[in-house]
Amino acid sequence: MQTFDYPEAQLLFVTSITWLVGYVYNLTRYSSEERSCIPWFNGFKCGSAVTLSTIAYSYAIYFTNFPLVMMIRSCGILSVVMVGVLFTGVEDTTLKLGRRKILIAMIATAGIIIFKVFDLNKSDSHKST
Amino acid sequence: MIICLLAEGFLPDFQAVVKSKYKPSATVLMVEVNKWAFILSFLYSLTTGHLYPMTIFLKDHFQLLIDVILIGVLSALGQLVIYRLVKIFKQHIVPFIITTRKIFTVGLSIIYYEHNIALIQLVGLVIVFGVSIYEFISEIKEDGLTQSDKHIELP
Repeated sequence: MQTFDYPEAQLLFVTSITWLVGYVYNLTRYSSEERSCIPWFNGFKCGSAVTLSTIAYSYAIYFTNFPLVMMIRSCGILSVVMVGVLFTGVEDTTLKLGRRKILIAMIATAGIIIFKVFDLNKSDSHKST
Repeated sequence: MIICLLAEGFLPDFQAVVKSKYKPSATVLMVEVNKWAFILSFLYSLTTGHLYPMTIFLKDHFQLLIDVILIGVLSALGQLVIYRLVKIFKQHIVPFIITTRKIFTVGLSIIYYEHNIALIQLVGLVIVFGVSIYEFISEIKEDGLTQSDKHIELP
């Protein structure tokens, strides 16, 4: 049986359709100045983070298994807050995250992990992809 | 997985920088991010040699093509809402909302389909909801304080 082993396929469709829909919407609502207010390098950084995370996620599922990936991905909140607190490039003080947020993210992550580790509905069929 | 977590961790911060510096509308940010993600994934597809076999596969399996397009349309609609959230809230609130939504969906599915749930899982649910609600309330309070500070500073 043929398999569809292209991790970027969904991303290609999702991003192209969203780009197209959003572009048409912006054409009708914003001036060309408003539409091009983001410098290309900032857009590139955001776009590469999306591409990298989606492709890495697909490969992670391919090489390990779905429950394990979902479990590790549950720590997403923690990684967002850690980056936001420790490596932030945000200069606006109202948008900066304080260290207290790490504790909050750790508690939320613990809650998600507890929920997933003790899942009674896990079947053996879910252990591999 | 480490790459995935790091990239997911940096994305909200990159978006927060753009939001604070250039103040784009939610859809302008959405279009810019998706444009670059499309260009990069297209280049990835081209360099790995996936593009041609992928096109042939989709041509041979028309139903899959329809499904992928539908996912794309639904995702575009979902992103409109997500970028609105990115525009309104601080960068860490969006993953909180997404996680709470996921847990809420799981909770609903447990009730609706009568799945078994352990007591300790309920503790996990309460922790996630509790922390998320606490975080929202403290953000709203913080915003309120900032607004009143600004109000006082006015001559």
